[in-house]
Amino acid sequence: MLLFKLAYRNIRGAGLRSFLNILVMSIIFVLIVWMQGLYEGVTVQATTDMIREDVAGGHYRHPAYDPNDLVDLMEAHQSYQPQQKAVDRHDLEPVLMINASVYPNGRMQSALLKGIRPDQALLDFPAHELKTQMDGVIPALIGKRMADMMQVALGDEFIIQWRDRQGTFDAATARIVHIMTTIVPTIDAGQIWIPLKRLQEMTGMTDEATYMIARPGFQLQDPQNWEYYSQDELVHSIVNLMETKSSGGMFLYLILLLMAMLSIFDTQVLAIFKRRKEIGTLVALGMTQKEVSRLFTLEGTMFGLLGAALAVILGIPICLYTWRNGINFGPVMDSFNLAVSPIIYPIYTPEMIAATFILVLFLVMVISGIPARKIASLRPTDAIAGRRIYKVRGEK
Amino acid sequence: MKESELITIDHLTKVYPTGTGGFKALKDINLTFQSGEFSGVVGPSGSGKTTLLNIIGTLDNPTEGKASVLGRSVNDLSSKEAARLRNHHIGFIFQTYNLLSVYTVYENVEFPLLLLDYSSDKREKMVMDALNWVNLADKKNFRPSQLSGGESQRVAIARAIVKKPELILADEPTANLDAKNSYLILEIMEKMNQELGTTFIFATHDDKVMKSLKRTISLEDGRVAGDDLAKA
Ligand SMILES: Nc1ncnc2c1ncn2[C@@H]1O[C@H](COP(=O)(O)OP(=O)(O)OP(=O)(O)O)[C@@H](O)[C@H]1O
Ligand SMILES: [Mg+2]
Repeated sequence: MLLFKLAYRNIRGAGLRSFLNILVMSIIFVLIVWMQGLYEGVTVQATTDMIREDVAGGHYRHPAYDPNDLVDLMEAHQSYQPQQKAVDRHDLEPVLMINASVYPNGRMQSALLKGIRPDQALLDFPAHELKTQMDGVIPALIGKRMADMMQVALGDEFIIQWRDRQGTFDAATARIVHIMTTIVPTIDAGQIWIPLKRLQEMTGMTDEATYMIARPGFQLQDPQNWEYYSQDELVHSIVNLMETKSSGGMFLYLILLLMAMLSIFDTQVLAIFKRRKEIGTLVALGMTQKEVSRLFTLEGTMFGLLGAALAVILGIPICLYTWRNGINFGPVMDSFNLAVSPIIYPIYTPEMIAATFILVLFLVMVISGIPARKIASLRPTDAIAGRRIYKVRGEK
Repeated sequence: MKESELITIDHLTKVYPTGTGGFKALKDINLTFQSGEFSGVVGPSGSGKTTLLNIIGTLDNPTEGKASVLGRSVNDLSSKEAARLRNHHIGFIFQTYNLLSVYTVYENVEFPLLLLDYSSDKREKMVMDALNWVNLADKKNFRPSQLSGGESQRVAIARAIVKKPELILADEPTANLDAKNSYLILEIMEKMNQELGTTFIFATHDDKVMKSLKRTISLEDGRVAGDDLAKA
């Protein structure tokens, strides 16, 4: 009880310095919680969008189809005639993929041509834009990212060159009929969507697909040569990919933790140097060195607690506002190739907030405890004189 | 030990560990101090004055021989017992004042009483009493940084006497003060010695202090070279 009173007096007595320490602590608390909320928000948002626009109930893949290796898709297609009924009922939505070269404005770029039925109903995806009939010209749907990569605009025409199933080259003109805005990179970057029928005709791959999207809840009794990937699997593989991409966020997180530690380090660990004389005086006045080190630990912990309290006061309005209105990162986000929408709604869970507070307070306590052993080993007579000599082992 | 003997020092030797086997700061010291003395240890710099006072104040241990203070053997005290002894019975005054900078004058003086767990009423009465002794009641809300050297040392004296200890150890209390302030604090301490019977032991090489001592112990190179009572 006495130590609490003394620790409180020390903090109050140090006035502005204490306040700045507490302020730094609280800002770090808020920033960490805010960043984690943001991250959580991004993940949840990306996941829901991914399910809506790409994954649906899961995919049935041709065994040779590997989304991480899209250089040669020539072998990755097969007939879906055995599943024709499900396809007709739109329980399955076939997608055919081939490699192609495109020549926007005369430059050559490689691209993935993806065929999808314009009347698909499983995805929140503007395939219906491909219904436009244009004599000879292939209607093409691309994402905003791809439009940037190709430097093309709505209505632009370009040449597509591809190989059919025998390996023979062919070419045709395509026109951009729609540019969609999406945060899901797996339906955008490097991809050109055209009507499935058209792609099957171009390649001679009648009734064939690379993968089939399943309606949620639909399951093939006998998948035969199709490999099933559930919704969860698909989402996780992409979320994992995102997590590695956002290792920059982890770095920032560590920096913030480090700053919190530093502000405590300043008051605590440097204390045994800066406050050596005070330690000696307290011992002369009748405290044991153990009590002094406990006092200093308590002081550091109280800084952490006061920082946490101020963080609650500062943080609630900030978190509430961003939770309600989201944060517009606008063009900043486009430069990252991340599955992120410009307006992000952070998600704060009580577990996350509690975990952050516990983690930071734990670290604060550990750091505050560091000088304890040093203080206990200080020779009081040296401390009083402000000398920098530590006790020789075994001495009083 | 006789009734009035406050401190007995018996064949005391103090060796500081150094790289080259140790440095003998005190050599075979034999001394007794009676309750109510106003005495001082004098001698050139490095003669061992501070070392002796630190051992008497239970802040340090003898290497050889014995020291007993207020009937307790310094050699045998645990650090907790030593702290309690200092807290209850010994006041320190330092050359550099050693006030707690984040506390007010009042809080500095109150500190030893907090450790003694006295009630706040009792504390307030005793603190104001001590501040009146040193004539600083009007500056009780000042911070140490707002005080002059003389005022700071008077606060340190108030902090040392506030719990009415039997023994006050003052290591060069006037070294940083001018003549006027030196005489002022000496006057306060002499008055306390007479009215409260508090025992004072100084370490000093200040003539002004030496003149007022009733007993002067001279140290030279770690040995007692003289022990004189002042002629009345
Ligand atoms: N911690 C220590 N380690 C090693 N030697 C020490 C230590 N403390 C003091 N000494 C040495 O012991 C001797 C006596 O020191 P002490 O401080 O007692 O002298 P003093 O008489 O108080 O001197 P001054 O008048 O300068 O204060 C000195 O030579 C000093 O160098
Ligand atoms: Mg000295």
